[in-house]
Amino acid sequence: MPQDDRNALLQIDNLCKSFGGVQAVNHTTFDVVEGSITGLIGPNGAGKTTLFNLVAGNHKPDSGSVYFAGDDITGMQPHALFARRLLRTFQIPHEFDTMSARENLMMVPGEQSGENLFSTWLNFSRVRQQEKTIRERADSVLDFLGLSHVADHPAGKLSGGQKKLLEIGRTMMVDARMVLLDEVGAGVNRTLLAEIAGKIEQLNREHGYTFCLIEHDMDLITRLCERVVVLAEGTVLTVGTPEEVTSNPEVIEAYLGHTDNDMLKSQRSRG
Amino acid sequence: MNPANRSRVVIATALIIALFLAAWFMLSPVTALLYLSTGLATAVIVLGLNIQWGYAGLFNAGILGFIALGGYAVMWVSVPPVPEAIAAGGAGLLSVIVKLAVTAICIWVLHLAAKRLPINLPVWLLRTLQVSIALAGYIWMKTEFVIAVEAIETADTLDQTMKGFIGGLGLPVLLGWAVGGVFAGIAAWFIGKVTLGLRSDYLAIATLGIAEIIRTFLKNADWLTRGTLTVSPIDWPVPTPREMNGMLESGLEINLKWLGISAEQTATAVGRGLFIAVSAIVLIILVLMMERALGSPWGRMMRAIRDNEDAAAAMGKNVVRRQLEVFVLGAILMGIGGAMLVSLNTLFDPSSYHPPRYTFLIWTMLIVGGSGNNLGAVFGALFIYMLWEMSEPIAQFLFFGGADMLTALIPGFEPPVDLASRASQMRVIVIGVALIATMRYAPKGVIPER
Amino acid sequence: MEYADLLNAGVYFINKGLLNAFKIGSIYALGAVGITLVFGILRFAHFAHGDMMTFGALIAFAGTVILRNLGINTEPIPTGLLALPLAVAATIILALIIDRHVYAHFRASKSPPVVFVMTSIGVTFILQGIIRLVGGTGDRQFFFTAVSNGESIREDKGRWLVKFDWLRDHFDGFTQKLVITMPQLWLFIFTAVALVGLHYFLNHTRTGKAMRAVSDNEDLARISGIDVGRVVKVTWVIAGTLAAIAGTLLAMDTQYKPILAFNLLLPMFAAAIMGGIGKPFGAVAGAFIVALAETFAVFDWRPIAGYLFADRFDMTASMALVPAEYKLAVPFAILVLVLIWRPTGIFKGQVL
Repeated sequence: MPQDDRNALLQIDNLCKSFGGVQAVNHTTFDVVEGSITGLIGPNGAGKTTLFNLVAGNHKPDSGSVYFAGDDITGMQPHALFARRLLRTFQIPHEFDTMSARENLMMVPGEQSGENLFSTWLNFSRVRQQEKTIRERADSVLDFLGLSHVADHPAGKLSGGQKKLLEIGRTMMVDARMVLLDEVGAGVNRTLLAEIAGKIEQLNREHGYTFCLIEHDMDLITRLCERVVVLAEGTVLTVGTPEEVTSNPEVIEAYLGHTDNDMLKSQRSRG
Repeated sequence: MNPANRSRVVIATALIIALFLAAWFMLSPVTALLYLSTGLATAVIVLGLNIQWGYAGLFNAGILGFIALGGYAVMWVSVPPVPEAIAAGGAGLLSVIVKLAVTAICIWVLHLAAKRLPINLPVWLLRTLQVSIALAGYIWMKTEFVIAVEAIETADTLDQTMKGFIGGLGLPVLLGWAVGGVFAGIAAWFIGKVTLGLRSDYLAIATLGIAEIIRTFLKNADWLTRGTLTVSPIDWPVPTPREMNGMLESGLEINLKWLGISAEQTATAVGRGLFIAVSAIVLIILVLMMERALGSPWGRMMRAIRDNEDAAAAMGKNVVRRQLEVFVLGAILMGIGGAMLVSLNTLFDPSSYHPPRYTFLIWTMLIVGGSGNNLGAVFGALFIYMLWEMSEPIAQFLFFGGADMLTALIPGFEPPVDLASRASQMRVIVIGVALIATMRYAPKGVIPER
Repeated sequence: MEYADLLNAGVYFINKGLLNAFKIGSIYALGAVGITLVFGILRFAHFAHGDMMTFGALIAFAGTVILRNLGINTEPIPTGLLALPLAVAATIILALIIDRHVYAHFRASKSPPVVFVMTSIGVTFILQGIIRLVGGTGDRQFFFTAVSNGESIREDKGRWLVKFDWLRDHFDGFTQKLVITMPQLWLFIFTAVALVGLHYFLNHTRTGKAMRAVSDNEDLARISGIDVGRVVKVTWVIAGTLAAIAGTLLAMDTQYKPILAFNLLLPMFAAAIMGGIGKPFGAVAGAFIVALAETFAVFDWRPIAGYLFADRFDMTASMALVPAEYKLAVPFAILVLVLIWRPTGIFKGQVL
């Protein structure tokens, strides 16, 4: 694999985490290069979501470090990571169910003066100004995602696919540097999936978003990712291009030991 | 406001007016005015609870602590100082405060050192050290404290109604209302810092316990509050009935007979009417402020945190900080309300903060009124409070009427001697039924969140 | 200092300290077990538990009045104990009725926890009102002088005095004695029997094991074929029984008053949470810890210091760690500390 001279934006160094005796993440080390779309795959139980949770601050690692843009972010809280423009989505959409789709998006930008109580009471005109700008951005994101027609619907009432899109839309309300996508393709039909893939490519190409995605859908991985990290039993098995990884006998064996069929399907489909 | 709610607001207002009129005609106009006034002050408190529970889902069972602090604040601000007591024990108290401050600083320094220094101090060791310092500080200041307190409580004063405590600042009452909010806010900040990391149901019990500690302290710190001897009179922001009486006697002419208010009651009625006006203004200002907050990006952020804490955190909101903010804001309102109540009663009596009455009743007010809705909170306060007060006279009417009827119908029937006090038990039953009925038929309250 | 002083100090310590703590601890234990069972199986905080205890005491008192006025005298067994089965039955029936007409509806509609808490508070209010409506607002003594057939019969609370005669003969100056009132003795006996019985029930009977299963994981238990409705009823039966026993014996030892158990609610909850939700024996441990802490926090060490150190200390000021008025604050302080340090409780119960 040719040496990349782009910088590593996210560096995971020797992370370990065990839960009640089970070593979920076991000395995992890898990089995500800036501007890339990197895949993170592996059989169920390999530790992928745990890894995301460790990076995103939902759990503290037992040992090891995580670096983002050169800074040590190990164990930092989610809201602090957001401030550094490292965002994440959730596998099961975490929408704000009583709020409208538009409100779901409008709440995202940080440091809104409207979120400060004193500004709300004493400097309301400034708040109103900002709200206008934020609303415009939210509307354009809704447009981009094709969700304009449900802008005022409560997010809890949207379809699964729409909730997924909204989840991604939230990351578009700020100029993110990197987004961790957790199984964005799970439970989504083929058409919508292709749409989502297109949006991801667009964001990457036009806005410079770096993505790291956990996925089981090998087609999505093959289409989007230039580089794939394979995780098995809590540690990195190998790193390579999608083609390299899907034809790697060790990787196939790791999957064979589990009931994942996507890997085998894509292997077979290539003959 | 959505149309369904609009009709509910109308019904709600009608209910309150009905209870008010029942009080006016069954009891007396001045009593009705007193109930309305108390209801308004309570509404401020319930508004505060709505912010904590309705906006942020924080189950605060320690309402009492904040109300009591507000009451103490208005007493402390408006009551004049007692020079004899200060002379006797003031220096000692000051020294004790200094010692406490030193102890607190030591604990805080230890906390900072553990954070900044490269040594990895295990948490249990840090806590043990901090607790030891606290204990040492306690023993260090205890004797001096006891002596100072003893001196204050036994100092002989010119004004016997002020004997036994150090008094206050002698400043205007409205300032006391504001300071009530400040005291409660500060307490909430500390309490929140410690307890907001806990799961919600645990938060309830922790806050309940801390409120109990505050209440017990205020009740027993005679040197500070005169304890069970109480402090009165506490001033009003408007002329008190007694002052009104003076004004009427020196020539001011007010005739309220057309309202059914007799001449003797006029002074009280006018005084209470003015107090109601001031309370209503305070309440309206606070409601408007809270409505503005709710409709702003701040309100949207709080709703997001309430809907899905993890997602809100992932989207950059500092959940714990915001919850603390909400907790403090709600507490400030409770403090103001507590101050208003003590002012209205012109009496600061720490033993009157009886947990069942206050804590549960206020929660009932919010739940029945409609949590998450500021108007619901106000309605709930006025309605439940009036219902609570009116249940007794209505029950007495029914009980005694029933007893008379049964005595006439059944030979040898003798109603129990304490029928009157048993009738007053109907209050709790009525409120209990109202609460359960609401949970069953309108779980979101009479005026639910839109 | 002589042996007599040591003995005096020791017996005083046991009497006013340990014995007192165990008495309070037993009451707390009986109540906390009920609370934790309801918490663990029905998954809500049963605030009305204190008033269930008061209710039990009231029924027992009523029964005692009737029995005494009928001239029934069963010394040395206090008449109150004869009325106890009636109190237990009444409390169980009350609990089942409340559950059926109030809580069951909310269980069926899967209401959020706050609804249960609020409803529980409503029930508390109503129960308090009914207790005072029916039983009046005054205090009552269990050991009163009854008039039956024109004769007045006194009933004595009864005390058991352990005088240590053989020690007294040897050590001059040993004057302290152990005093246990009869109700206290019965309390210890009942508590021990109840706890042993509970242990056997939970571990060796089908229903008991079913209860534990529902407490651990209701859905799994239901799928395994366990009749959850029956478990719910049994839970109320146990909670009601223990509440009635605790309330009655406490009232017998002190007096019946309408506010009898409400003040105990909070320490009992503290005990239940400390021991871990859903862990009955954790609740028992928590109960005794709270009782010991409470008793010794306000324990005035003066008499002991007097025995041990004669005149070396100034004895005018109270030597208690915490002034007696702040007694109620002690279980809370403990609870807050436990919650901060170990939210699942000592025995790792459920987290709410």
